Amino acid sequence: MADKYPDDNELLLLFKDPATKERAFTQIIKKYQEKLYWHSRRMVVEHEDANDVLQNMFIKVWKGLDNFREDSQLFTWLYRIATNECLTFIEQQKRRSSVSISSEESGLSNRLKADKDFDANKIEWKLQLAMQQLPDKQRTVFNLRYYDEMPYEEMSRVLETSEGALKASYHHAVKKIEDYILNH
Amino acid sequence: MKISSSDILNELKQVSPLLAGMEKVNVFTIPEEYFDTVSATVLFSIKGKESTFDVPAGYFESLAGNILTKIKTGEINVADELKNLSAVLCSIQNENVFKVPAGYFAGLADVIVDKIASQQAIVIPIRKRNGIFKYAIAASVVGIMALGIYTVDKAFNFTGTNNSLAASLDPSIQKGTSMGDDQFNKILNSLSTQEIASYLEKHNDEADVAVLTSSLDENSVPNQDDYLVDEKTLDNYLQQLSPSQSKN
Repeated sequence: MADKYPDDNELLLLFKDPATKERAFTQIIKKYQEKLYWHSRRMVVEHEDANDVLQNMFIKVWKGLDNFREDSQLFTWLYRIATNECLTFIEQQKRRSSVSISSEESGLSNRLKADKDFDANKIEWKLQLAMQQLPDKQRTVFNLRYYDEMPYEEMSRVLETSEGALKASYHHAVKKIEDYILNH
Repeated sequence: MKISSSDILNELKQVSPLLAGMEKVNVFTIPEEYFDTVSATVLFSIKGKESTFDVPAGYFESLAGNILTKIKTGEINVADELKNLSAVLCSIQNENVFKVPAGYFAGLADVIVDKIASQQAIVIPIRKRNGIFKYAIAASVVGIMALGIYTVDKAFNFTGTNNSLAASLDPSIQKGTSMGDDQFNKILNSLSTQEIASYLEKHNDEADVAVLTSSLDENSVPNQDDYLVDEKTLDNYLQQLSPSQSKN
């Protein structure tokens, strides 16, 4: 899908030109929206919340892209903003609910169970429930590796964490998820 | 004539009984597996000068780049990694359980662009913090304090000046009675922040300024760039101030 759009360097140049800024921005959205949406959706579960996160994220991109230093890939930068938006959103949800979130009663687990297609007997839904038991940042690591197949080097730039820590985190996450699936 | 070890020893004894009595111990060390490589090293030294091997053109120029590429692409395959970690997860095959409304992605870009357009506000050039900007914040939060003895009248009847923005002493104040908050607020609310700020700047009485700005911590006033990034900056700042200012 990303191949039919101009490369990132060209998009950045077009964005800097007031005459083509909006068109470039629209193309950036279209180029990356699905990847970033699914990344957000897996973090916040509900479509409406993922939509809010995604829109807020792209608005920040609009405001900050002129200052983008290009010392990292555009996509890495976009992913970092999206991830931070997701984590901020989740924190705000926890504060609003003013309930201590334990692994079993987490709001996100309940939202999963409330999905009209939820089926506790299907392994793919068990996987989603298992993911909600992970700490937010570890869940992010798992998502980026398992679903997006992101190299640790790039993940390190997205999450500003060492590759070694990410590998360890991912391995632990996989083991925890496997245990959950086997025991539920 | 054949010489035996014992003959040599006997000879030594005759020369030096001390040396003949010492145990023979090797004190020198050599690299590990040295003797295994000696022959190859010697052969290479001989043949190196006579090498007929060819190297492809540009081989050494591209060698560094090729090695770097190999390092970068040498990262373990994600699927293999998962297979090693968990057969269970590997079997789930990234099945997606979430649904998306029809046409969502087709319309998303337009929705975001429209949202940005509606949020675009007119940016008032801010020359410096100590100018109108600080007074505007102060006026909107604590205007009652120093302006309490004046009402700012939209009829602009200030005696003796041609200023477009004027103030007159409230009749109730002139009579020696205090002006009620409601009365003051009603008039104040009818003015724009810019009008109040301009008035303060033109009638920059030191006492008023001191009172107005005494509640402000210079460092707590938001940076002007914050306003360009987040439209809620002023609201957030006013909310921070409001608990301490509400009693004024």
